[in-house]
Amino acid sequence: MTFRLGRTVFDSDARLVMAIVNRTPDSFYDKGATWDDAAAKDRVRLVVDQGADIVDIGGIKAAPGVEIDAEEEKRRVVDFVAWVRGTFPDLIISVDTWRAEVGRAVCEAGADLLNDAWGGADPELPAVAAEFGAALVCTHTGGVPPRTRPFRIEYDDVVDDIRESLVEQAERAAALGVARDRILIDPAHDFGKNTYHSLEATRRLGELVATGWPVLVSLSNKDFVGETLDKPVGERLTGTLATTAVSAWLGANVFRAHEVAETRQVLDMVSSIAGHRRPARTVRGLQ
Amino acid sequence: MSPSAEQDLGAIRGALVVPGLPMQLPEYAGQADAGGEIRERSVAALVEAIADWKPSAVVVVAGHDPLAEHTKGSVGARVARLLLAGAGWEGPVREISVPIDADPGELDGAAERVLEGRTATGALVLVPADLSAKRTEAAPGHFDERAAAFDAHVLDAIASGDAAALIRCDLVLAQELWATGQAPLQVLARVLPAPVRSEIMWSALPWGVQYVRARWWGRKA
Repeated sequence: MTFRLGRTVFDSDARLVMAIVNRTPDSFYDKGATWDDAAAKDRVRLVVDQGADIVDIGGIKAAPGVEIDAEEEKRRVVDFVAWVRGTFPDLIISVDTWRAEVGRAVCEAGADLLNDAWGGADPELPAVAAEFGAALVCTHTGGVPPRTRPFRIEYDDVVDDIRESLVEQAERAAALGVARDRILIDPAHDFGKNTYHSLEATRRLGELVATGWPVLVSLSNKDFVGETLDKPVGERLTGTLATTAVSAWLGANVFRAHEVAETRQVLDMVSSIAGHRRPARTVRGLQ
Repeated sequence: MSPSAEQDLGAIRGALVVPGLPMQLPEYAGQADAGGEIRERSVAALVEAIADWKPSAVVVVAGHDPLAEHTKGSVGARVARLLLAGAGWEGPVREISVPIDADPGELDGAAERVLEGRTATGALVLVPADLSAKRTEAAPGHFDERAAAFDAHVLDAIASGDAAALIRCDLVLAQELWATGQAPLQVLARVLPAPVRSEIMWSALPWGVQYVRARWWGRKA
């Protein structure tokens, strides 16, 4: 089954890098590195050079913190989306927001994809995607409100819960008019999940792929990687890439990442192992 | 083409020696077609040879590894088919396969089969053949200090059209140097023992394997 983002149609074996571009002063990993406008623009240029297929622009960090209202969120992202659209006409632009009001503003500025990272917290967001012909990422949070950490959350079967929630959200989005081939699902590692939940979601990712909706995974430098390897932020790249490779092998299509070049290499390697991509250059044994 | 050559009925019009590396085959290409330039230049040489010699048939002389267990056929023969298709050749083709470790008796036998294929207006002999594969540390067969001299001898023989010199090459040494094209070259030397002209069009060892592209013009009747 194919899926569409922007003007591009992708096959079911596509493996795309979604580069994180934070317009925040306080996100956990980059700690404001692209808060400055010029730095954010440099980041977009860099990740495009490194092979990113999508940029995911976010104006609010996921973790708890100072409340950012919709006006401030728009100030952080809308003009920037317009700049990216004008500078990179073919680049797929995603915006990480749960708010329909922000979604509308960024779609008007040229966004192709609304990354609803908090799992339908604002039920109007899919209608905005539908109105603009944009794509939508549905995520599983276990029902927790935006910008909260999981606390003692349990599931009978975490993957069943993820699958049921995501399929329900995806069907609802489709019913509201989002094109079926512009809907992705994201198990949302760490969101509403402890480390065991995220590991199980990874191990059983194939069950989500089997729903037929294209799967996005957001793994980059997250706590479940850190707890698994006992590594602090800044030392989680290896674990992230290992999880990326496994997820790619199990059929995920989109990989939200901080380290684009490394992620691109991992995905290209997996694609070639899977027989979906020719090696770059073949000489060994063929001279 | 001189009138005498036009009347050279039954003769082999000429031979084209081309690199036979598998990298030229599309199924082995990466996104970068590392063997593409070699392949395309061989196609161009084949087009030119066909235009010059106007053969009525092509006889491919290719080596095969008698120890190979796959059923894909020899790489040399597959390369030859690719080149002929690329050159737009639609005439008859015969493939003569010779073991890369052939002894002189087998080489004589292969040469006889080539000559059986002569036609009234002459054939083009297409020979995918490579020299040693041990020219550098990074070569497939690693470095062998004997390889350079061996290759120089073979290249000199090809350049000068010296069939006897080709036949004098040490077959055992050729095996040790992974010179997989030695057997087909020796068949060529047997079927065109006195070429009227010879030319090396290109030779190089980009990956530690000695390649050559060369033409031999056929003997007169």
